[in-house]
Amino acid sequence: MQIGNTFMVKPNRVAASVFFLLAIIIAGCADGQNSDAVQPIVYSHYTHVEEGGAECLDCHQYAETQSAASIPNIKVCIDCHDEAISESEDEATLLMYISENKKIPWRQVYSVPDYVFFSHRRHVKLGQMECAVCHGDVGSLAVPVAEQYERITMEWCMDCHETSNVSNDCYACHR
Amino acid sequence: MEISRREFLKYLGITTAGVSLTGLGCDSMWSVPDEVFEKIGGAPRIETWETSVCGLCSGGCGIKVRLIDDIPVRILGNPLHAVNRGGVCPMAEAGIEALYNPDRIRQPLQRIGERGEDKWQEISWDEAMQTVVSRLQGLREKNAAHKLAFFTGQDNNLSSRLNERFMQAFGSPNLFVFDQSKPSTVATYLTQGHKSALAYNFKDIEMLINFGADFLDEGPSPIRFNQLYSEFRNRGEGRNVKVVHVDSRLSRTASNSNQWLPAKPGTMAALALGIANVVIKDGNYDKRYIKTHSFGFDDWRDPSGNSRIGFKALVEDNYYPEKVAKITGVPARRIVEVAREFGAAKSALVLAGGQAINSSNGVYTLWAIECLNALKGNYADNGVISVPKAPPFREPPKINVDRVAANGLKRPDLLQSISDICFADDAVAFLPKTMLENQPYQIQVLFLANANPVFNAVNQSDFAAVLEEIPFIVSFSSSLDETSVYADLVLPDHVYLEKHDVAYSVPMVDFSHFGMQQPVVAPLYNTRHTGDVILQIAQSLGGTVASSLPWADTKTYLDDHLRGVYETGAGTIFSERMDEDWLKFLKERGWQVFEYSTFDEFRQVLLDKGGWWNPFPDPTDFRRLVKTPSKKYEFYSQVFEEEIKRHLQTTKVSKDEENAVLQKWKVEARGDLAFLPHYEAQKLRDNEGRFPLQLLPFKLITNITGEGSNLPMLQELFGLLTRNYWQSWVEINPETAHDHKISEGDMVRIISPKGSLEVVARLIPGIMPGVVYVPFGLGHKANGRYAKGIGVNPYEIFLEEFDHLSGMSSLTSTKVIVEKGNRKEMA
Amino acid sequence: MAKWGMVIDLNKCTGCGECVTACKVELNVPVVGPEESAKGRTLLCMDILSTYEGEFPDVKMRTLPRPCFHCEHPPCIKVCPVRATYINDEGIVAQIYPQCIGCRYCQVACPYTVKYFNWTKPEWPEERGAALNPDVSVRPEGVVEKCTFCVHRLQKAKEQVAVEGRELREGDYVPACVESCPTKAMYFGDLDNPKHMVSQLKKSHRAFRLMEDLGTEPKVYYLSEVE
Repeated sequence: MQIGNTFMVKPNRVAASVFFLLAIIIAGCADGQNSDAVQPIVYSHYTHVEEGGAECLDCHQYAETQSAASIPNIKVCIDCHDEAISESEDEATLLMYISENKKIPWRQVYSVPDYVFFSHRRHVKLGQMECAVCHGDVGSLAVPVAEQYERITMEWCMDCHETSNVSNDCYACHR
Repeated sequence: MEISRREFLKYLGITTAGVSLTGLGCDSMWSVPDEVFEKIGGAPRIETWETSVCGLCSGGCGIKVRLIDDIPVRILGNPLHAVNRGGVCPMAEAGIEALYNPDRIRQPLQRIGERGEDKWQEISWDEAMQTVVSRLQGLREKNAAHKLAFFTGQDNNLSSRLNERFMQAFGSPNLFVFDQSKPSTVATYLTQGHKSALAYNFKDIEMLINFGADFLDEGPSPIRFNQLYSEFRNRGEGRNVKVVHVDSRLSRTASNSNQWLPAKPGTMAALALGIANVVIKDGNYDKRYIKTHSFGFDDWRDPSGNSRIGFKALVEDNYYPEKVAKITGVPARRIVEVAREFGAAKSALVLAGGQAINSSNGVYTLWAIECLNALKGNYADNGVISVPKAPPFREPPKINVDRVAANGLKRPDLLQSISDICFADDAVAFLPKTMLENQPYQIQVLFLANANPVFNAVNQSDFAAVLEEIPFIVSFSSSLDETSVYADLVLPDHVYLEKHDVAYSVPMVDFSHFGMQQPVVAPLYNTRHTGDVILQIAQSLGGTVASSLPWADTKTYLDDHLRGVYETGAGTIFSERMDEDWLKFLKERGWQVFEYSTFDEFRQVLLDKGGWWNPFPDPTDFRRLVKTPSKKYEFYSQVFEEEIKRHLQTTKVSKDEENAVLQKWKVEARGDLAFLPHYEAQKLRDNEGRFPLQLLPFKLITNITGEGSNLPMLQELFGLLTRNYWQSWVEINPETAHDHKISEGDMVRIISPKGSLEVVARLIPGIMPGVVYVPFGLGHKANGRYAKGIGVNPYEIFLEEFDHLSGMSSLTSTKVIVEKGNRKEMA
Repeated sequence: MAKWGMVIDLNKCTGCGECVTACKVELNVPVVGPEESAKGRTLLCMDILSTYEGEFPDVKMRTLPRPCFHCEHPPCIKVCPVRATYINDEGIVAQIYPQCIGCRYCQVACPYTVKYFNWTKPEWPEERGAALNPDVSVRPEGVVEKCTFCVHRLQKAKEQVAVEGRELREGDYVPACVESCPTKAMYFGDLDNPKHMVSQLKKSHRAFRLMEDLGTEPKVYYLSEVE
């Protein structure tokens, strides 16, 4: 548990109960200063996207249909990795998770607090925004995502809303 | 209605007083684990819905459950369900907490402490099952199958039929149902000779007189009655139903009626007969029905030529409004008004419940009330009252009975030896009487499923004493309630959201129907469906017990029943356009709403939509149903006469013998009067006037059965309307309170000859002076952290008085003193 | 711009309490427990008020479901020092929890006492795990909570209709209490849209609002009982 100051991973009961749940899906945090999240598998977006030709939506399956884009877990991975397809050590780790039917404990890097309503569908599908606007060129990363490309702060959200002529009423996002 | 600022502040009186500025924060009751994050990290949070049936009371309401990533998060009503039509009560809504209750039993438990000490160790299912089976085998080896008893709670679902079947095959007559919501059928039996549960069609009625049934809070299926009562006054100009409510407390049912007639507790029979008096005098009754289909209305001559008194003369001579007004406290003018309206209504219905039934004179009261329905011809073919048929389930194979079972079944059951009760078959409150004396034999093994008499019976301490003596008790409860803590072994059931079942025939619903209960989530813990456990026990016992219960699991058993519905093609699965007119349109043209090519398809649609109903019941032919000696509706009950003969095992009964029997059954009337509905003062043990006030219980929609106490949401909303959260209270009329020097919010002590309770006083003008009311539901001594030690259980101080005809506990027979306590209510 | 409002038909309401329970479950309103409840700290963003009129035996009990009235001129917003509570363009009186500093001025200013200060950390049994409504935030301790007209449902409904490429229709957005009312006594919609039921019902001769003399102009109307 090494992500900077996110309340979501601190094993702290106060933080836990204040919010234990919900829209923590897309990592990141209120003041957006995540850094150095250590992922359980040294995952390379580059290998998958640039070499393997995968699209974002192939794995982050719900980005167009749900609020949460979702972080793929073994059920998604198994589609391609039903057996070893490389000699990578990290793939071996993945296969171990799959064979033991264990969830991969990914660290979320982009998330918004519980009290923010953020919907991928709204941004990706309705707003026709490119993933890279917020997440940068993830496909070129050969190492796991460890910090936010854009610091997801309220200011940053509101600036974009302002320029895109989207409502900045508190209740457009807060709940 | 206009509300001024002043009045509004009055509304808020209690709230604002409650907001104080004392310290921030305090010890929390609950904590949340860190792992919660892990559970949902990265999940897509996909919303789905599943239909099922609520299992928290026997109302059988259809529900739909909202799931996020397959985790149930909320329960709503199933809008397609024909009984509750999309509505649910607070209890059903809080059902989500039943699933996640931290005090659920997660694994079979074996008692290690003393009986009732609540000390357990976890054991494996295999070990537990072996123990049970060897005990049962022991009984059968000793040719003592009858020494197994089974106490169950609800019996409105198919899996409880499985329990009955098991008991038959095993060879014991001792299965007893503890269902508080079951309407009494004794009065129907006395007048009509059958014990069918009656149902009511409210569609065309113009007037309803409700004697004491708090349908809106107690049900059965309270939400259905909330919808009905709301609809009664919104049918449109001239078509609204006039509702008159008789009770000594202005319950929510009473306040949702047009008129409230506060009658003194236990005097409803007099009021009903007073209304009959006016109706008969005015000649405003169904003369054709009375003439052709009833017996004993006019004076009559028996075969020996003696002149006998009829209902009409009895009522005319004894129940004129002025006299009834004296007995009941309802002004004569009001009685006449209501009776005139009732007589004039083209279609009017009378219903009874609550204190009308739970009183020491309950049978005569119910009987008198039912006569009003007869006067309106409601037991003819006007369609107001009917006996709905059970859904056309496929008949299960015949039960095989071996020699041991046959021997066991030949033995009298535990209630048959009770002679001081007329109709003892359902008189479960009398079980301790025989069981404490090991009469007619000692029970060796007791099964408990959802029955909690140690909490909800008036003679709860007797039940506790009985449980102390039984050598081996197995509970199938999913939480450790007051009765289950006496068990030797707990084989925990799933919570209703985790299991298959079919709930059918909610009391008082006039069409046959069933709702599909299905698991909306995989079992959270190592629990098992009690139906599966019973089937497995049967298999392990082998022989005819196994062959009588041949199903692999409950699901197969249920499917077997459902095949009957599929094959007959009767009725229809709930559908989006379920309104009767539409279905009628289809039916008239010979169409079916759905067509299925296979049973599996049928079953899937059933599960998706939530159930099945038959909106077009055949009208009940009461002429064929009535099984009295006269083959007619009997105002003068010859059935009762027969019952006395049967009791004395003779065909000729002398007057003295008859009187002796009546004496034993605590009937005060003698001669003809005893066989006619009449008013008898209820038995009140007054101790020379030392106890000036009468104590009655009432129930709330937020905890209908009393078993909802382990759900924190229901505890917090328990006294929603009086703002008594997590708390019991006593409702007193302000005048009575003044006489006893009690003010609003005082802590008071309620003392009966049996014990005392300490509660906060609420001064409420909707309570009859001289009567005090304490809500039932709280005061648990077990059943988990949220229930235990919160509030009081009024039944603890109720005197054990019974109606000796039906065997029902009397809840109107307890007198108390209310004393001001020392401290003020917190706040 | 829509003006969201509610009409509650007291002639249909039976006071069953389902709206209160639905609200508690939908909005993740925590149970505060017996000690806190005894101090008058029960959180009920939807409540039912009850009152008795008359004296025995001529008594009438009345029940009145009471959400936040989302006044057109809300007294509560004027006293908020941090603009945590304000009225938005659609007429919803908002309470922005992360902005709220818990000063409780608004609670005092509200003439209808619909604002609740949460004194304790909201907590659920650990077994309950993730089984809360994911659409609503769990509030931290020490803020003022209130009925939001289930604004999270509006957020979702707007997105849904955009995906379907149509305008918001009546019924696309209703709060949980309205949705679950067993007797269909509650109506919800755009008070300015003549096609919406609520805008017709508010003109009924039975329609009234609470304490109209204050000039707060609540957007929750009641239809009086028919005597």
